[in-house]
Amino acid sequence: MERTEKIETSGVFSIKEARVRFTEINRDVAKKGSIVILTNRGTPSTAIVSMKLLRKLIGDKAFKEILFKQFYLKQVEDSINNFFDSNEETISLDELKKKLGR
Amino acid sequence: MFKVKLSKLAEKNLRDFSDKNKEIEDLLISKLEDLQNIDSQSALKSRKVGIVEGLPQKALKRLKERNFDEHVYEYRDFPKSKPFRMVFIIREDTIIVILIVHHQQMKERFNNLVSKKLTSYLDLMDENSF
Repeated sequence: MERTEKIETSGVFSIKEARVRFTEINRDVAKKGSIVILTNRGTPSTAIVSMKLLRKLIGDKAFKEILFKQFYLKQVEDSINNFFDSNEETISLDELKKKLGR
Repeated sequence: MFKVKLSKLAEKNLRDFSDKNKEIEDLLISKLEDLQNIDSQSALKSRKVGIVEGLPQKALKRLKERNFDEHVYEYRDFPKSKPFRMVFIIREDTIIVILIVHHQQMKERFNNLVSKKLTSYLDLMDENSF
């Protein structure tokens, strides 16, 4: 998921032509994303920015990729909740094979 | 050797994917059988298995409270033409598959959400509480 994009940040950050490597959308901070900014000095720092700005910084293609990852993570999270909400109901592999007539 | 179980959702996923398709059913069952003999450490190194990164702390905390391993794993050892992923959790000697997804189908669902129903990615986030 990680990629490096060259961007212009004038007026947003104090560094120009910074290289931004996005990490992921932090869902604990609603509608905000965290990005790692690699300056020319090579010191990485993390910034939390709005989704609008994140989209602008990394471009539509990369932005869509992180949204897709979030879409997948949401399904995983839902499946965990679903499992516990159904009182951890399971079927063993052997039982399943029997049900499938194997 | 692990005992392998499926959650109700994973069982439904398997049935939906393999509905009238014996080849897919054979593939998914054989991969579930592989999971019984998996060595999680060497599988992690070989990338057959990966840790699902980026899940919210709340979900991971829930696993820990129920005495599960602190990670959620993906089994990715599928042919490129059939890019399934099995998401599982571990408690002691038991692997529980909680979700089975097909990467391409998931991508199509996502693209449909983005292109048809919604006018922008930001709307998508609103709808799904991202």
